[in-house]
Amino acid sequence: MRRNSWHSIPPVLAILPILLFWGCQRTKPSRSEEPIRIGAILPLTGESARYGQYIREGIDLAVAEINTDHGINGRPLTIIYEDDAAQPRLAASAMTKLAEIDHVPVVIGSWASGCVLAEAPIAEKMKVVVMAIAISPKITAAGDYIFRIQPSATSYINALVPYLVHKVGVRKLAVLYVNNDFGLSQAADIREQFEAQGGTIVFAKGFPSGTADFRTEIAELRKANPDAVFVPAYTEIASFLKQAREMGLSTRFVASVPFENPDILKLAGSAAEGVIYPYHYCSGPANDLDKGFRIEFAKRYGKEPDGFAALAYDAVRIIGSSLKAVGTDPDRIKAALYATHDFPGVTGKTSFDSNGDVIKPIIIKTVVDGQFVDLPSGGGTSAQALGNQQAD
Amino acid sequence: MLLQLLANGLVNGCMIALMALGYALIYNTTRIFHVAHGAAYTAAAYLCYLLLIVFKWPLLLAVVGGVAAAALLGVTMELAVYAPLYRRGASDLISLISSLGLYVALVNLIALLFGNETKVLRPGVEKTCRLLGVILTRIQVAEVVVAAVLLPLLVLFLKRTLWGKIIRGVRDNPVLAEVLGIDLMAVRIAVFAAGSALAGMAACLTALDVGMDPQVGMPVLLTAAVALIVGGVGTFEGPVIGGFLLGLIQSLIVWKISAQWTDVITFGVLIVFLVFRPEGIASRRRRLEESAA
Repeated sequence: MRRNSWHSIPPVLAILPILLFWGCQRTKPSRSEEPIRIGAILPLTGESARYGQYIREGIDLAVAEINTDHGINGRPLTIIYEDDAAQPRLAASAMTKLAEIDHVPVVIGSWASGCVLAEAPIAEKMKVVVMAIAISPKITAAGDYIFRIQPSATSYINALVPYLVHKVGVRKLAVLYVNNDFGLSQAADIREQFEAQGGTIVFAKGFPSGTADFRTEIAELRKANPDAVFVPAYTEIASFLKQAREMGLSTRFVASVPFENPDILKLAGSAAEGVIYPYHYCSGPANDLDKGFRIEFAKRYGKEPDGFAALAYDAVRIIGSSLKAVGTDPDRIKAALYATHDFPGVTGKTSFDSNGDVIKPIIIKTVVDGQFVDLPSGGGTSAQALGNQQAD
Repeated sequence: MLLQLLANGLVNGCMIALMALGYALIYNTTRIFHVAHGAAYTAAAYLCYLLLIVFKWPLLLAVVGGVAAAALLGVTMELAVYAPLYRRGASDLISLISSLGLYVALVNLIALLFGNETKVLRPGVEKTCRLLGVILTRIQVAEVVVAAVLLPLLVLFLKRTLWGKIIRGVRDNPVLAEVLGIDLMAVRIAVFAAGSALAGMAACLTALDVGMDPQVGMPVLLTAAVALIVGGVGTFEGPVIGGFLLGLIQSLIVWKISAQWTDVITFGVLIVFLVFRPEGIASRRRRLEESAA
């Protein structure tokens, strides 16, 4: 090894002047080669770092592909990452920095809804286009420059309720929600939608975030005897499912978007089987583009992409195509995004409505044999997927 | 339905009672508002997790390991922090603040080592027993059995044996106890070891039942402290009674109102007791001049 490293020195020395020369040339790039810089505000540290990491990986993959394919009209695309640790205060200062110092036309993120709402007024004032990957219905009205690639929490319910009513035949629904912004809005949305479809909400109770013991609620649910229990929550749902199966609660279980989290499968084990939930990304490749994305992602990072990596990948490609079409003026990018119609992506076709909210297909999914799988949306419910209610 | 709710409340009451008795052992004898007791609780649960899941030890050994870790941590905290403070005559407030500091440091250390996410010790569906329409998992049955054995034994031990008498002596008057030749520091170490071990036992059983995250210690500690005050500070049967009472009340709250109200009403009960019966349910009979002091 030592000999080898000695041998390799002369070629390095030979390359150095070339590199220097090239470097000097690069110091004054012509305007057409200067990179186009856009920002990204993500939770790269803290409790939500795993989501930020997936999003970053999705972004990096899309950027690498754009840059190998001549970049943005010959100019490379680069991303300036800022960490907000899912804290609105940090997101606001990251937004200010990206807008005032880096003068980026577009910012991707953040992931936490509170962070997006903190960025929004700054982005509006500084005229920076934001492409959030966040779920809160409040973001719909956050501003003219605020777009998002993740559907609003309300959209997921809009897709879920008809499925429950018409495909599963749910008439009496119970709702057990985590008592925060997310849980409350999901509970309100499903009540409105479900009652509009002629169903009855027979039970609705909140619980504090982090609750681990649901046995009293489960005893009540057994008495209320609903056709299904909807539990918009985070990892708490794992304890709920486990205890519900233990106490022999034999209804269908319905979850919300945060359910697609491998940790929940690990925590709940077999109790997670058959849970129905809405999501924005298929488990199997949705189309040829998605097939390629999964292969490239696995090659680059050695793991499967998650739903957020897929959204981020689509977001960068949509922004890239707008930059190609109209250049780096935020107002023109904004107009191009509003005009986006059925942009083909790995999460399906994407359009934006007049609020900047994404319009894209929502998929109803479930768990079979410890794997997240898609439920066929056209035909009847899969007996294999839904029949598995009682654990023992 | 009602029976099931009472059973759930009883099981939770068992765990609160164990934690409260452990807390009472320490608080009654040392007068330290030992917030870091919650950290001993958390540490026991995480050591149990480490032994059971990572090192694949058998369940019983893992629980013993968790309990031992809590006891060791309790004694270490006494030797490293509380004993030096006591010798320097530090006020109760200083012990409380040090204890709070210990709690924050230890819980953050645990979060750094194990991560902030929820962990369960027994994923999947647990086998259940059915009795009179009440469904309990095997772990819940174990919780009841452990509490049914430990709680009466300990209360009797404290009432009837010489060691119990010594502990009660230190509780009543540490200075006089020392004058009478009792090794005060040794008694303090003993109560920290035993009290923390009880916390460890409650932690391991609860973690086996419903899992844990690094923040579990504080709510459990506060509930135990409320159980002690409601049951009667200075007594050892009081916290046990208070623990069961709180377990049942909490179960009823979740049933009649909702889980969001648990803390509000738990501390509401505390306020009611502080105003109307500050000595608690099982108050000790004191001489008049004693209560004036």
